[in-house]
Amino acid sequence: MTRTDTAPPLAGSANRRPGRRIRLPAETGAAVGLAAMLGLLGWLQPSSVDAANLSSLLEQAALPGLLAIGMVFVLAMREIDLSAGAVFHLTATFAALLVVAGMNPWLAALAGIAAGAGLGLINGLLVIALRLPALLVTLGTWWMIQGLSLVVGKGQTIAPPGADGSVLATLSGKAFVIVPVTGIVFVVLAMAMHVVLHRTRFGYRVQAVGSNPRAAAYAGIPTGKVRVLTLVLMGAMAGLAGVIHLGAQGAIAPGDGGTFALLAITAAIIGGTSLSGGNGSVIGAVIGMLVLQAILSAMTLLGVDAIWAAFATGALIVLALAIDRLVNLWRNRRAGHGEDNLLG
Amino acid sequence: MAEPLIRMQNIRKSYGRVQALEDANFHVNEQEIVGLLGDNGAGKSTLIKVLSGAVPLTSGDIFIRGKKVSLRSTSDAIAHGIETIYQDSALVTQLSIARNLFLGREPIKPPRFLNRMDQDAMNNVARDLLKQVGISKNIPPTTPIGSLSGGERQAVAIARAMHFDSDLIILDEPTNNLGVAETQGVLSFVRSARDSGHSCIFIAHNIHHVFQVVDRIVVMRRGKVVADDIDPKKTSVAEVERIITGMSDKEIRDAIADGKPSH
Repeated sequence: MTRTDTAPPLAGSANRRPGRRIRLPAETGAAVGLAAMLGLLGWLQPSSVDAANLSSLLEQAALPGLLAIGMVFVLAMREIDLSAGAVFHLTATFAALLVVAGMNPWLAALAGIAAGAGLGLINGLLVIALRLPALLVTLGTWWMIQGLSLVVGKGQTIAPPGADGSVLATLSGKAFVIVPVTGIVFVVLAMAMHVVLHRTRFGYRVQAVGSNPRAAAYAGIPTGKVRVLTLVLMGAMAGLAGVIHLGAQGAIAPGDGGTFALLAITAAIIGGTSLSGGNGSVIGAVIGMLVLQAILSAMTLLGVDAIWAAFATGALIVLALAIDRLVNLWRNRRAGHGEDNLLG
Repeated sequence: MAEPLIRMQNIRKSYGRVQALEDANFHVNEQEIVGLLGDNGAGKSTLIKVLSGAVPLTSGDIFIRGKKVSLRSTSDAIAHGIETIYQDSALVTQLSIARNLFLGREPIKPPRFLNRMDQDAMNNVARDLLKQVGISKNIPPTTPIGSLSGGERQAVAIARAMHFDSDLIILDEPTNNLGVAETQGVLSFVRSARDSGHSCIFIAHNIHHVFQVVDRIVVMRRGKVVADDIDPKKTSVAEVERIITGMSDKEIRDAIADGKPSH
């Protein structure tokens, strides 16, 4: 059969405006915020922005930053994973116990990452089976995983013997004297995941599911599979962060990583990833996490009591949410329609 | 008579105790535009969802060119050449025109295991298609769908179905919320789809739009097809409205006088 597939011009579209506006990248806000924070730090104490301190800022950002990279994918899919911090802790505990039991540290690390991916798989399967938002499912699994961590770790710090001398301790080292290895892992993975989100079919389908789940399903995209894979990715990133923490610190203590899930969500939102799904920025999340760590450093420099850190982090989440909302409302008003928001 | 493109036979669909479809029989011939009409709850959407693989049927058979098929998912239906364009859910507004055209069928660059999309190929095809549908002016294929008008979005969705050579294009309320000029654009687009070899099912609340474009009208009422051979050239809108409501002239007048529809 021959089909010519031509059509007359569509009436009503001829007189549209060329309407090409300059679009600022989604990361602009976070980049400006980072510059401002570094400026503030330098003004408070010039030595806080020297190479050594900047690289330690990167090191602090690296572990919650790995979770933020995974979280960008989850948020782009219009979901949220509250259990990521607990997954981080359980995988580190799991890997530490394996090393204590005599397993090769590198194998234990692989097992830890696999355990993280497995926990993500459980989250994903629950989301599919119960047809519930990941927010609700992970609210439950968060507590379950946290409880499990306490049970297997007996609520104590686990420091595998000889962790300092083991190969995993490479992670606590510094390349070229000053750049922390964890920071390098973080930056390299961020660049790789940026490509995955914006250049691969998987990343594109994550965004399609987040933007309009029904359209994605009607177009034949296996939305369930995309959801599960994204939560597996999130779990694997948390697991990776967990074993890196174990390698770099040589121990995992109760309470480690307790704020990581919220930090990751906050960093992603500061970095321009929208809570309403459909798009995300890995690079933005990296900058967002650096902003967060810079704010925490600034609070220390200003002599603010450490107990205010939690309050400040919470306030930042509210601020980031407010900005996200305002940007969305503004975009919809500019586009002359708000229906996508209502359908939310 | 030749075997139709699509034949749905004795289709039943129940949601719990609610019978949405009761032994519905329906067919679409090759290169034909069928208008599917019916009041709210008559079963139009359910019939379409069954045909597009979105909901499973309770019992009944579907034949494509005489061959029995099972449509368990939307991808099954798409693989069998049935493309459905839903009013609100045809496109992903935050992604570009090019990406929407390839939604679910993204081309992959070698080496395949890297899973990288071939964006140049997508943009090139999109540019050609936009030219063909007449909305190419000043719109690069990387523009997000969200900045297009309603008519342009319909055009993109129809162009997608045509590009992937679907045999049957199901249009769910394609003219809803469109201006007069845009409606005419979409209608002529549907005609050209038929003229180039595609069949269409056209669902619209506005009977006048249906009359302008379809070759045959099918009316559903309470889960059944009550008329399936109405020629829009030989039948008046008023007659079709009577078939849709299932009421006589007098009943309609009484209903209007009472201020509420009778059943």
